[in-house]
Amino acid sequence: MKDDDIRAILTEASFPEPIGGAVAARERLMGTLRHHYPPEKNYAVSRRSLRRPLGAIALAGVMAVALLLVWPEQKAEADPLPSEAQMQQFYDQHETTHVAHSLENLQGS
Amino acid sequence: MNARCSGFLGILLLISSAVVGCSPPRVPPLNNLPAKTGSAALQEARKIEVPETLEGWKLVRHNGGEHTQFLYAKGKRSFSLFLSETKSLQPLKAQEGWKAILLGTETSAFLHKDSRSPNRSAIVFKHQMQRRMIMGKLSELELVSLAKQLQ
Repeated sequence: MKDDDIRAILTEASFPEPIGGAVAARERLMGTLRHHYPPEKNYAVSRRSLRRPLGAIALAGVMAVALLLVWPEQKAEADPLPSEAQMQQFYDQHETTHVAHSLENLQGS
Repeated sequence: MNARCSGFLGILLLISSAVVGCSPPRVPPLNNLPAKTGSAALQEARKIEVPETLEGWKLVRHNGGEHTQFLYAKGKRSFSLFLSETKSLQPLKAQEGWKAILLGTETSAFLHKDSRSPNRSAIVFKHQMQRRMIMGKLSELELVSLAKQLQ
């Protein structure tokens, strides 16, 4: 079969010695591995699972602060005082009531 | 009774504003709600927890409506107390034509003078959710001392 032919060629082919010898090559490889996966790190508890929600929490915090800053801005509107026209109406109503009361007093006495 | 009255008033105002095409007047006309005098007025005052006498002034009249009015009299003089519900605890906003003063330590109040008759003046301040206004031919000192009693 053709597949077996290829396999045979590959297994029989010579390959160059690694630079510095087999031991040095192994050391290089292990060094790279140690760099990416340091042995002092505890892999049983993944730190990535904690780091991801931290970003979400930070984002939520920023959103909450932004909301807090924006939200009360509309509620902080103070109550308006009566307008000048309204005040005139109030003065008129007071005067009318005052007169009504005085008239009643006159009739009473 | 009060709710029905205000409901009726609201409908009246709606119709009138729809017909005239302008905003409804904020102060309802006097003849819409009969004024209460004597003991009837005192009853209303007790309901709203407004004093019946105030520094020698006696409560004599009550007018219901959006801006409840109580008339206090002493001899020939009188002043009105207007109560308006504001639905908020926010302080009053300073405005042109009003003079800001302090009642006690922190309550701010505003004084107003009638442009048509300068001896008539008013003071407005906030009492919880209520806007209270004292109005009459009173001096500034009298207004402030009455406001302090009602604050």
